[in-house]
Amino acid sequence: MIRKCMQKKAEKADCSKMDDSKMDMNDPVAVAMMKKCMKQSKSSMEKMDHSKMKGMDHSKMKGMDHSKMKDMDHSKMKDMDHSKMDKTKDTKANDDDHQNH
Amino acid sequence: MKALKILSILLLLGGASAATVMYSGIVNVAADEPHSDIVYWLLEETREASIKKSAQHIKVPDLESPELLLMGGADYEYMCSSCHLKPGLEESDMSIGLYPAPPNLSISHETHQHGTDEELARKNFWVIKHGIKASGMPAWGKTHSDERIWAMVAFIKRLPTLTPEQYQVLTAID
Repeated sequence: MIRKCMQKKAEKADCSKMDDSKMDMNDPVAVAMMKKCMKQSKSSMEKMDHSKMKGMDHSKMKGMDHSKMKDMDHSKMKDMDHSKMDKTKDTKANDDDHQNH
Repeated sequence: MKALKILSILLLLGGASAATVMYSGIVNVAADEPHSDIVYWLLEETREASIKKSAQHIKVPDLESPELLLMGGADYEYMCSSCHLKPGLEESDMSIGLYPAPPNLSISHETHQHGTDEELARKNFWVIKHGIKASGMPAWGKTHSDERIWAMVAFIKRLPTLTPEQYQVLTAID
C-alpha cells in the first residue's frame, strides 16, 4: 500500500503564479521557491535544440532607417589600412589607360 | 513463605486471565471502532511520554535552510502527504481509515501538539526515524538518512504556513 502511494506522477513546479515583488527574501520558503524556479528555467533553456531553429527571414526585415542612426564617431575609428584594400574599379581603369599608352 | 505462596497464586490467576482475554477474541481490534475514552487516553499518554523520553537528548540542527525545505518537501509529498495531508487536501483514504488517525500536519501545530519549536522538532525527528508500533507510522530511519529526516522535519515545521501554490512549487520533482 505504501508502494502504491509512492507511485505518484512527477510534476514540474508551477512557477507562473510566483510574484517576486511580494516575496520576502529573508524567508527560507521564498528563497527555496526562487531556487527551484530558477533551476527549472535554466534546465528548460539548456534543453532547447538550436539545430531545429529556422534561419532568419531577411525578406521580412524592415530596411534600415538611416535617419535614426547616430552620427559616426570617426575618432573611434582605427586608421585605415590601405595596403589591404583592393583597387577600386576607377583606379583599375586609370591603370589600364596608362598601360595602353 | 505464606506470602510467597499467595503471590504465586495471584500471578498464576493473572496470567490465566490474560490468556483467556487474549485467546477468547473478545478484544475488538477493528480500526473502524474507536477505543473507549479511558483506553484511548491511556494509550495516548503512554505514547507521548515514551516519545518525549526517547527524544529528549536529540540535538536539533538549523532548520531554516532553503535547501532543507526543498529536500524535505519532495519527500513529504511522496512519503507523507497521503496520510498526513497537505494544503488543499482535507482528507484522504488513509487519513479516514487509519486508527488512530494520522495527525493533519498541514494545519497549525497548536491544534494537536504542545511544546516549544525545539521540542516539537525533536519529537518529529524521533517519530519519523523510529515510527510507532501498531499505528501505521513507518520507521523511515531504516531507509532514509538522518539528513533526509531532518529535511522532512524542517518542511513539516513550515507546512502549516504554506499555500497550495507554495506547496506545489516546493514539492515538485526536478
